[in-house]
Amino acid sequence: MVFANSKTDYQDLPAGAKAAQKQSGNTIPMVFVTTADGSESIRGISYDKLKNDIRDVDRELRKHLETVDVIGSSSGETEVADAAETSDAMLSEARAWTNSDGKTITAAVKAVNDTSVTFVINGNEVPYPLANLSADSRMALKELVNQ
Amino acid sequence: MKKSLLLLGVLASLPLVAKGDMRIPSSVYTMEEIEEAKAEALEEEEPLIFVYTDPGTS
Repeated sequence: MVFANSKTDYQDLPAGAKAAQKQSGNTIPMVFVTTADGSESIRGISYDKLKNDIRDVDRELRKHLETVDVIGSSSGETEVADAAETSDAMLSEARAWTNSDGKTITAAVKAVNDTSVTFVINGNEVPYPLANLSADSRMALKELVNQ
Repeated sequence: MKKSLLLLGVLASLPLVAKGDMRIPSSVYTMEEIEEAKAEALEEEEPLIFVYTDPGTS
């Protein structure tokens, strides 16, 4: 879940969240549900809906999520992309990486530059700031690049 | 099941946000951490859920 400040964060919202905002009226708080990559809107939930019966919202959204692709626009290429994750095109096959908060994600590595690493997760390329990785993970990436 | 738990977590947190209470749980990402949120959502095969509000609203 992502907290977005309506006064300062609108411009930084991904396209899917901006599209969901258009379905959500003008009253805050509101909730946007997007694909995992943020590219597509799944549902915008207005304050009125939240206020009227939050259980209905929960029930209806859960049902809807069973029918949609939550991964994102490139998920149709997952099979090809998954194969690519293990190919020579990747700097690294999928392995665990840890961020500075101790959270771990499993991702292949496609590219590394001075400030970010491009992870590949379930076929989706995700740029990730090097500064947010743990020292150990940054070191492992450095060794990977120097190989 | 994961989707349901995620959604219930979001909905349960709304009253805090709506009251302008800034005690955001550590499991909640801010917009500065959006790439981390995407990475986790993709790995978990879950949707991204945004709570959009003005934290100064009482």
